[in-house]
Amino acid sequence: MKAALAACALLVACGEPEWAAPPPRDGLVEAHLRGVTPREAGRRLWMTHCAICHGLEGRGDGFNADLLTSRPAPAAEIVARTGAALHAAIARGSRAGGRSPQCPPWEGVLGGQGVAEVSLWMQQLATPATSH
Amino acid sequence: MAQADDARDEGRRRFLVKVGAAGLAGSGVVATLGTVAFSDLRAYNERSPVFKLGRPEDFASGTRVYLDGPRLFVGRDTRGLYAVSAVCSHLGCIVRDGGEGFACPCHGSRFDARGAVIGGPAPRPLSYVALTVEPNGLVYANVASRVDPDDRLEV
Amino acid sequence: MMYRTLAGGSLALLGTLTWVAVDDYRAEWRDHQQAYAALTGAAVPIGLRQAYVPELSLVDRCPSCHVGLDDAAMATANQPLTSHPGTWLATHPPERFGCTPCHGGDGRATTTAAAGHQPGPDVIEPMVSPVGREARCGVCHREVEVAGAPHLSEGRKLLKDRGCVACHDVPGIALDQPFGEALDSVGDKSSRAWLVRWLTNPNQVRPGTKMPRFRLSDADTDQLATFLLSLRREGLPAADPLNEGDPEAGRSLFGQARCTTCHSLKGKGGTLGPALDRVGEEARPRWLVAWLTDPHALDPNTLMPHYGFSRTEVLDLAAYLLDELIVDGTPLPAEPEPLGAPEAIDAGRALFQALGCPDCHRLKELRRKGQSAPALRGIGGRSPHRLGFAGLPEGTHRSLSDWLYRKIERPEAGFPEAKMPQHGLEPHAIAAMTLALLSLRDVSWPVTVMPVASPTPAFEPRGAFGSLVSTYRCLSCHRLQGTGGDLSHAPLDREGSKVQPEWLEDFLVQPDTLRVAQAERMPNLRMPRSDAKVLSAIISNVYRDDRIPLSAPPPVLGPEHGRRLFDALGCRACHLEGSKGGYVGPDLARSGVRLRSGWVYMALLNPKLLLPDFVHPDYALGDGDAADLTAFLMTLRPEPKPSPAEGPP
Repeated sequence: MKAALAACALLVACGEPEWAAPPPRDGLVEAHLRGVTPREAGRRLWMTHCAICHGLEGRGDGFNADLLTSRPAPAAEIVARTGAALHAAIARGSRAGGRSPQCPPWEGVLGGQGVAEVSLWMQQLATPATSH
Repeated sequence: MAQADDARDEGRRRFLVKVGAAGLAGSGVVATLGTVAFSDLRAYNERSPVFKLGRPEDFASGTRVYLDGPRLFVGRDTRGLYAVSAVCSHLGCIVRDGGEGFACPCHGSRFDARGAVIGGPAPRPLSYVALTVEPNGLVYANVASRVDPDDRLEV
Repeated sequence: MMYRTLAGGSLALLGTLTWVAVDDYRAEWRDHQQAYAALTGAAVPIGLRQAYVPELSLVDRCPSCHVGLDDAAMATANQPLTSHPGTWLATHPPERFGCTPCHGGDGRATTTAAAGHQPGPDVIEPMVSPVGREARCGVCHREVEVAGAPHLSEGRKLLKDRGCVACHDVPGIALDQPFGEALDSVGDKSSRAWLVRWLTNPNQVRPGTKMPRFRLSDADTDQLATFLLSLRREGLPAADPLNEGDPEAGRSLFGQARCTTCHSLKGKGGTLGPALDRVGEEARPRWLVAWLTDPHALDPNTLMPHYGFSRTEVLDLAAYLLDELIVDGTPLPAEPEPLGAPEAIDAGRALFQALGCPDCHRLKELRRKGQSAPALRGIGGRSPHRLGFAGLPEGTHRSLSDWLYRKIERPEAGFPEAKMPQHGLEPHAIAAMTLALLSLRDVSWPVTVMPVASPTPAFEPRGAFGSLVSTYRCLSCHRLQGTGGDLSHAPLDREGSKVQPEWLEDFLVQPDTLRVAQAERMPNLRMPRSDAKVLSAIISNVYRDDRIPLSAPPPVLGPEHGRRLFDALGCRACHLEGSKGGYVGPDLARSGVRLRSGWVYMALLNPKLLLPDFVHPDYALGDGDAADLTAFLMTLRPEPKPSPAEGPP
């Protein structure tokens, strides 16, 4: 009888149900339509907005590079120079950084998020010996 | 010895009967309470009388707007927020806000700015309903709960 | 013994009843609501919460656990208390739409498991994944482009672009014109060898083609080819470009007319028209001359414009195409092959119809009897329990979405009797199309909750303008009033607000290169000036955006200040001005005669709105600076050429 009572008490007192987020269920559709990672989004923006001057691989050798009065900096150099201020450098353009005005401010069209995504991709380009 | 045994058995039987009776009585009480609680439904298959109206700052001072869902005029004056039902007390048409008062398009009932009847067939003034602010910071109206026309929600 | 049983039984009954009562009271949602109360520190009325929507026969009790879903302060809280992300609740209030129409699952359930957060043996309708949710958007939003549902929109566009809707009836998506090439003169054009090669594996002959691969036996292929070769057109004029034309002149004309905007050579060029590397093996001289002279006479629905080539130019171009563009074959003889036996032709015609070919390829001699493939209305609501999964590759879940994916991917696997051909699509495209199919559910919801679908009748310009737009196939590349292609970045809807009429007229006659870096350029259509005048006048006067003034406000500090801004902002990094500048943006040397000042001014103030397809930065210019910069740009004109009329007599 004691055992029965104890069992009742145990059932009453048993712990809070822990709510766990269900794991994602991947069908074929989900597997092929994953959201774009921020870095991949940054790569796409780089290709459309930056590569024409800074080069596809970020070596400062884009199609338009020869037509500029000063050659565009390679991505690695920009990342190394600006460090934590990379976001601001992309957002406000080269003129705000006291350099030539040839790289325009991008925040107006890319938005804060777009600039952050480009920064991620530039950091990737600046990392040596990785395959991307 | 046998008598002592009988007495002990007697006592034990009596105890078991008591326990049994108490258990049955307790079960009866729990079952009755359970039945009563069961008849008090937790949710009804009907539209909730509580409507979400929006953020307090959505309602500017000195204005009054009509909200289609709860059929309410929600306004703010110097003392706070109020909500007056737009359902005519006569036959349930939606009254129009004429600024100075309300007018019913169906049978011509007229109400003053506080909702009191000033003409037409309406038997009762327009009702004011209770407003509350929930923890999420939004204003809710309970159209089933009437309040005094002078009550205001100060937010 | 009896007493013991009585006592034990009654206690057990009490215990059971108490346990039932306590278990019923200890609902999951009560804990979540208490946790919410503890987080907010406010008195929260504990009770079952639900969205009750009789119009949709919905009772969704999700808010009982997701109690903070409309509380912005819960944005960083964990599930289930977190607030609903995005602005979805503002546009889709749960009081009107409930939760399950978008998320799926069982709305009446009051426990995590029963609500269908995960699929399980007891779950009839599990919740949908974030991607799958886009299909739910499409149940109500039936237009092709649905804001906030990029994959669904892509899938719906693909259903149209890949021609699915040519054979299948898909509600809400229809083709503006026949999907495939007209075949009425294919017997004059092609050889049996080429047709057999093409029908056997179209993608090998023309990589990227939209023609699917049918599973045909050799005998079937031969029959089809016999029928196709019998499709001739009376009275194609004789022509001998190989002897009369000059291939070198043709090559230079090929470049001048900018054929590569639509056609590719050696993998370089556009994809709107077929690749031309092996056109010499595909087309006979007489047919090609007729086609270049007036393509619309042979295929009234082709995207190819009617160029104003002279007879000599046509012969030169044909000579170049036939002579040079052959990879490893030999040019076709001038005369078409002899007709096959009438029975063989009839058999081929029957096969042509049985395979559903007329859904895409209209023939004057064949009447179409509706679409050949099953209608897809309601396919997104089919129960997976009624679908066959036998024979499908491993890793296929028993879900409708996986079944549809496999069916599009390889119609013959698991569906051996299906007629549907292989389309050779990328997995990404198949997945997007599957989403679009999943959105095709029939729901009996009242019109009051459905979004107002704006009826968009296909725009068809009429009158003189209409016939010129059709002759020059402007809408193959440019968008206008919601129809047209997207090859061009210059939609015509507000072109009248953008450019000056005189410049437009000159440009249509002789399109100059504005953007050196761009491969797709306006072709030189050999347009007579009279036609250019009409097009320019109508575009300039009709297709304007009222928000854009024709003229900019007067400069504040003057054009000189504008010039300084031009230098200081680094505009030259991208734009040519004079002899210096970059090749990213258009050449600005002729801005003063090309652009309307009002458009320049508005584009500088709001590049995101007016130049959505261009990579133009937003300098956040003030009104005054924008006016000064505009004034400077409007001073940029070419040096006036001394015209013979003004010269000394």
